[in-house]
Amino acid sequence: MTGIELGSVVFIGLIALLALRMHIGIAMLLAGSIGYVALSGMDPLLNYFKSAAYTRFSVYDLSVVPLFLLMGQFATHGGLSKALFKAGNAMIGHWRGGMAMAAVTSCAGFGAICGSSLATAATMGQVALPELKAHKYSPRLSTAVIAAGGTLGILIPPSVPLVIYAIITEQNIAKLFLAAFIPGIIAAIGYMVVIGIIARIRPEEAPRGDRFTWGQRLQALGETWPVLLIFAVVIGGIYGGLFTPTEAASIGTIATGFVAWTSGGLKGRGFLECMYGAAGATGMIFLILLGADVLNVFLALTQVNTELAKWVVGMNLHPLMVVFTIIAIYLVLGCIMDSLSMILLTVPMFFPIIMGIDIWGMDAESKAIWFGIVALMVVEIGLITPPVGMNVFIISNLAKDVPMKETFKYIVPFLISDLIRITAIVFFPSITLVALKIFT
Amino acid sequence: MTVAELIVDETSQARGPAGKVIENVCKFFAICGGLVLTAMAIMSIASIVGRSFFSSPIVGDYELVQAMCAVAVSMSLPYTHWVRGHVIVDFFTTHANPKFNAFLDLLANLLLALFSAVITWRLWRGLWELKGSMEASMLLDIPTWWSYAPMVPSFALLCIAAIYAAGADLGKMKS
Repeated sequence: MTGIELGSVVFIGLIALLALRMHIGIAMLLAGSIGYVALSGMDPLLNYFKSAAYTRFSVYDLSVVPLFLLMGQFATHGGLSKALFKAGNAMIGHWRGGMAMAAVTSCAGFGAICGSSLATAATMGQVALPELKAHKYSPRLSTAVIAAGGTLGILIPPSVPLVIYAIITEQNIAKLFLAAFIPGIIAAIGYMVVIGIIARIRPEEAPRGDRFTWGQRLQALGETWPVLLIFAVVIGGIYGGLFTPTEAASIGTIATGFVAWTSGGLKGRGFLECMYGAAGATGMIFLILLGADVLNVFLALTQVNTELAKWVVGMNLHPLMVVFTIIAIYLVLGCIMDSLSMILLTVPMFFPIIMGIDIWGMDAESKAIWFGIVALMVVEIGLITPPVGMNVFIISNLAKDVPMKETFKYIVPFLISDLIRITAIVFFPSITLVALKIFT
Repeated sequence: MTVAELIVDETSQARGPAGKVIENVCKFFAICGGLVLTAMAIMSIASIVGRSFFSSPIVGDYELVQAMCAVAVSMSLPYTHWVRGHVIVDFFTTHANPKFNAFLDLLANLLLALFSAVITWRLWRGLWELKGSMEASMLLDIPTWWSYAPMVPSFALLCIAAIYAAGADLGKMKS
């Protein structure tokens, strides 16, 4: 068997293992190990395992991942979600559908200190759902808004999947964060427009909230200062070259932890829950990283990736066709897989293809950053599509009286806004790259 | 992403006294990992402060982060597995016979047990080799095997947790 045949067989085997409920990290470990043994024998593999775990877990740039996860836990326990929602509500709650829009802006704000969509959806759901209910918002609209708004958690930096993408493709984390910022804001505005439209068609589902005085508004806004400060220090520090991403994440983690501590969120079991939560998510991500490492060592030996890229590039397809095919694959995969697994599994294959074709005459770095943002947005959609939209699951857990089917029905307009945004960014990469041009 | 970061599932597995012990050790490891992570963050901040105000950064902060990160991550692994925090694709098997699914989960757990056992063994060998060759970090001269030392029990614990979970799956198949 040639390397390429072997690579393909192993890859198909991997997909089969995934379909049979195998955890993706273990499946990758198994598939990669079998391929590795077939190519080079048992001893090199055993030798490789001597250092693989340490080598993978001690990558300096990867250390931001557990830090951002811990920071997200502190943020969840820090009461900042409440302040964010209050501020949004004070400003725009009196608009048609304003409280739902406030839920979106507070998701975006929370996303600025939390790198995970699930944590954002869960945290904002706990705060916003009861308020929306009290103000007679329809339950299914409320759940859909929070589930969709939760995806802003990783679109707005810091973002764990974006860190992983940066490491796989050897791109600059700071530049990717910056490039994600404007699309994140556009996403939030898009969701607010959707709410506005729904509120006009069905005013009974999204009534106006109370109007606040400017004094109350300023006071409510003032209470969100820790979020602004932490975000400014973390992202500004990374981008300004003052700190490495790890140092910035360290500051963010300790500052958020301090906020959580002063607000009483770490009392009793609070601190332990933060530790457990961070450990659970860290272990999940790094076992996948370890598996992906083994698999990628094997794939590199077979050169499947480069051959696939050569083959696709050699077909001379229209670049847009290639891009939209990749997007379609992500949308399908997103229905059944989680975003991080998708990035780790597919980016090593798709990235060389993207780098090999000419898209709008972009230079290599712009293309790499642009593709990272597009991929991130597309895999994020998987969080709110049936049958396994994780965000919707989380929200259903909080609002057990709303059937998941109803939530999915109201998710559709938000999905449409996602697709419009992604298409726009494919056709106009400058939407995401302009921030880089301004700041460099 | 997984639910594990949000839901600390206290009832995911029926546990006897052995399970209770494993659970507590997993939790202990998770807390240690979290504390190492916190210490790493504080150390980074101390280094920034030293660098910007006293023009004396902490020597070797880079390699400290690397070592501490490896330790913190490894110590998190058993807990993740204990709360079944790993994501799986259950799309194709949602409507399958629960016993068949328990069988598949059993296989997955056994495979994880096998791999973590192999990795534990190889790490242990690697540790002794590193100790023998006196490999150490560049600036602080920290022996590399020090970071391996907490990793070996972490992977061993992961193996034990996986075997215990496999036992639970076996119970589900029989019931």
